[in-house]
Amino acid sequence: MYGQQATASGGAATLAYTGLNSAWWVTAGIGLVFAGLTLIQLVRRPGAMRP
Amino acid sequence: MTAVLMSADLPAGSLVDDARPPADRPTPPRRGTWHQVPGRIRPPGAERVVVLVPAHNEAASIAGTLRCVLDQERVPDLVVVIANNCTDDTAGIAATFPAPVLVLDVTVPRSHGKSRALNLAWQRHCTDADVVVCLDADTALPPNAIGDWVAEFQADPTLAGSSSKFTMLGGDLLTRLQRAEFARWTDTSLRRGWTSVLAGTGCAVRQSALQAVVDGDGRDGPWSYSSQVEDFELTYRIRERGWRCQVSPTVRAYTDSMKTVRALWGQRMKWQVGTVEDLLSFGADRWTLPDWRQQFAGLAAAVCRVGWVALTVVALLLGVLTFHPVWLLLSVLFVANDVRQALRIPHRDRLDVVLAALLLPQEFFAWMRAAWFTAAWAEALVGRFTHRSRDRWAMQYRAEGV
Repeated sequence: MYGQQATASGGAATLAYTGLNSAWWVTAGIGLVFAGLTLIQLVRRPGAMRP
Repeated sequence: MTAVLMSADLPAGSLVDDARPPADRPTPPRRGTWHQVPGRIRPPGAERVVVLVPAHNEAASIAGTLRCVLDQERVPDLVVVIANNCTDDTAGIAATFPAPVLVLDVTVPRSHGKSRALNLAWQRHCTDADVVVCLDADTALPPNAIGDWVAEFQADPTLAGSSSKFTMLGGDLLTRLQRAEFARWTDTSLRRGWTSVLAGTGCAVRQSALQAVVDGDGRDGPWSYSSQVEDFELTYRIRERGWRCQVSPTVRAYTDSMKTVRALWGQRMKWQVGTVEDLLSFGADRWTLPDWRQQFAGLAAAVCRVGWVALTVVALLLGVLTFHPVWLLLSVLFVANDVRQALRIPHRDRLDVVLAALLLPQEFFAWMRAAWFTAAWAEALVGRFTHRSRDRWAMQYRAEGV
């Protein structure tokens, strides 16, 4: 019985960890994509015409 | 829309942008295959230019707008002020101006009142025009505007419409943030050589393109009664017929900014809900793909911001928050780009650059942007399923106290 509880508790923790980990990767991934796009803007020559 | 924008408020000596000889002015790049607009424009000097000025309770600013129109190097042939459901003295003030100013004092149904007012004036006064200029009654054009627009249409038969480069004058924080945002939009449009919106605030459209939309879609007039962003819808209808729309390299328009967060929220929700509703209606095609990308990027930015805060809070609560300095590089990158763009803002001063370098003001604006992107998508999707749409024009008027 204790073993079953421990397994359930461990399963929930694993699930929470996986969820957080996925959320972290999604957030970091989007942030990195935006950073890449920003870097491209930064190194690109400014337009010839005034905005 | 409520503040007075008089020609005297404009910065002296800076009204004509890129003041070089016309031949020296840069030509926007051409991409893809554009169709020539049917119906030729008359020889230089003989084009008929009609300016439409829709005005709803704009007594405070209409005089300044009309003075700028009459001060043009190339004076328009007719200026129609459409006083639309006004309860103030807009029509009376406009009537004090001499010909070619003409005042139409109209009462139209409040729903899509601006489109109805524009269509009414277009039916009566624009069918024999070559170029139709749309100008909001709180917006001022520099003296080169109409002459440059006519020259653009003469030079490029594939060009159906040309929008202004918008600049807001003022020193308060919200105005500076909006000025920076509009400068970025203009920069992108000029680089691309096309735009997906001929902003009704100040633009010129070839009459034959407007007529083609009306004939093709069987409408009352060019401006739609089904869209909350009638200028975006009209631009799409013009572009899907294979014509080009651009932001003018030389015509700047000085317009009013939203002075309060509530007014800004009202304006942006109207734009954003209207854009989403229209995109859902248009679907995905070669003309809307860049707008879909922009929507996707806006939503992704919202997810990233909310995710970042939520994860930080959860990690703090669990006691597992660790700091990796490498992530600071991202902030440095974003600030560097903001500063670089701030240096390109027209009529900027040091504070515009300092604000960009401080990160927090731009971050505040980015959070607002994330909020209206998310709220607008939610509202548009719910409206699509319930077949109910809120009158965002009325809500914006209330937010601005008009």
